[in-house]
Amino acid sequence: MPERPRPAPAALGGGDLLRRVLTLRTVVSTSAGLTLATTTFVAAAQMASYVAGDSAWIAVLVAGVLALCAAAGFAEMNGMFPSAAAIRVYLHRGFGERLALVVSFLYIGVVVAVLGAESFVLSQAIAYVVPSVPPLVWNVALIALMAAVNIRGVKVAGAFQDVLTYGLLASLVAISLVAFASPGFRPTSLLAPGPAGGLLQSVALGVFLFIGFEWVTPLSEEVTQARLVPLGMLIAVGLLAVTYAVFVVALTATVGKEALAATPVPQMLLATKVLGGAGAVWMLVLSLAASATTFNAGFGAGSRFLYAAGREAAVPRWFARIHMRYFTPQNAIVFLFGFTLVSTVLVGLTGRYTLLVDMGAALESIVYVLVSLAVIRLRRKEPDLARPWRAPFVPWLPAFTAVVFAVLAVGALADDPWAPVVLAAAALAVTGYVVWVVPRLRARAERERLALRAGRSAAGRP
Amino acid sequence: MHVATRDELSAALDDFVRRFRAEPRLKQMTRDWNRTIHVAADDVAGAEFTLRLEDGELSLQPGPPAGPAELAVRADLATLAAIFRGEMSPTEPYMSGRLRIAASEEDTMRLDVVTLMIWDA
Repeated sequence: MPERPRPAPAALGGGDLLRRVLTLRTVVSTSAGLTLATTTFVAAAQMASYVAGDSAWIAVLVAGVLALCAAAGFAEMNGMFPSAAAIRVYLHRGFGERLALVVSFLYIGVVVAVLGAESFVLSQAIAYVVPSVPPLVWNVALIALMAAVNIRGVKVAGAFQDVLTYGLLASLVAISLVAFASPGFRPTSLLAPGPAGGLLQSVALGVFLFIGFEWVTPLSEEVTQARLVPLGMLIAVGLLAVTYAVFVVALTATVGKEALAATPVPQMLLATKVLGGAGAVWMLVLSLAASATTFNAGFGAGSRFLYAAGREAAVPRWFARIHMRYFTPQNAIVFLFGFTLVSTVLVGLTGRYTLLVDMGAALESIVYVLVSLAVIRLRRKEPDLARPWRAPFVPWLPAFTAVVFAVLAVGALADDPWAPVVLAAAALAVTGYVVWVVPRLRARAERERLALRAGRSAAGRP
Repeated sequence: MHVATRDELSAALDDFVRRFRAEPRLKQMTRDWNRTIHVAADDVAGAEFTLRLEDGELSLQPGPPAGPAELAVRADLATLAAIFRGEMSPTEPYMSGRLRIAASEEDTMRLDVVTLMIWDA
């Protein structure tokens, strides 16, 4: 279908007829809440290992500023295409369906695999406080619970999300400040991160701390003003950057890098050192809260992506089957339950939870590169399309963002020699699937559709 | 795809409503889902319709809804007509950004299931 210039939504005669209830407060809390996860504490500890002394906060802030640059591109795209399908739509419009499908499959695959790592890390945190139950039991129970919650279609209400996120951020800052006030707190090299290569590597891993801020875009049609989503994303990234910067200084200066390198639960060590047993329980509650929204968002995004892929015959139609009482994609959720279980068992067996952090940071960086390039491309390809929010300094800012995140993707993959191997293998497999299998699935679906219509006509049904 | 007119979209929506009423499972499925759906073409002024679901009964009115709608479905006229005629799955234009559905995730899913049951079940 030929593209044609479209009028701005305000000119549509009815663009404001939708019920809109969400405010900036909830947009910020949702964006930050989807980003906060228990594995981000592990990523923060990983970051610290690449810089001198307690200077990882510099890498956090640099990663935060760069995430803001990426957020500007997401904001423009979200304004143009306010869709729950988000990057799938952005990349489709920018580069065509095939690349959009490959990247979306990879992205969702890595996100769900990271949920396996999240479950593993969270189960370790629970076992830290309740050691009588093996972590694997918690692990399986958590994933099963999340699958059940998603099939039931339970949603986190806006007010609850506000309490959860702002409570989490305030608690992390509070625990960090208590650490700052402790008698033995003596940070070193606060302003001297050491060699540039180490700082780059640290910033590359820092991208992981901000994964998911853009997942707030599906709320764009429920907010009271369209501009609140882009604004909320920017504020959320800023809040997260400051919180993590304070937290990582407390973490490294209080726990020490040697202890951090050997644990999947750095946050628990910090809380115990600062506040004893009560601190550990408090931090466990925070970890549970951080993981809850991550699990829910990951399962939600993954299952709906698979459902949609099933509807468009990019995967077998089995994935498009829904639960007729709760209207949730039950088969896709069951599949994700199995996928996450395999991921978490592999993480448990190998102990390589940081591999998924590396892959997550790298793939997120690649997505930022592509979205930034799509902003530039669409400004030329579809200049008349309404842009309620325009990224500044185009093409220079998105070009800069694309180059920087391309370098950071390489940096993140350099953290573990297996990361580029696994990611390249996955990319190859997904590309082969999209090029060879998807067209056949679609051709078969079209044949079935025509046969169904013919059968209906023969039976005299409409 | 040929260039559609407002009347063609109107006819497609009429047909959609007729098929909905002919499928008893849909009445059962939507009996507790009372919603107003605003269907608007974004390339032709005035090509707007309101679908109203009330106690499992679907009705169609020309023009925008009198009050706020729970769902808004927007695309160019040709795409909307093709979707409501069942010639095109809504997923493909949705994934390409041509079709925009402004609604909660649950409502979007339910609407998709309705189209699925009308055309593909």
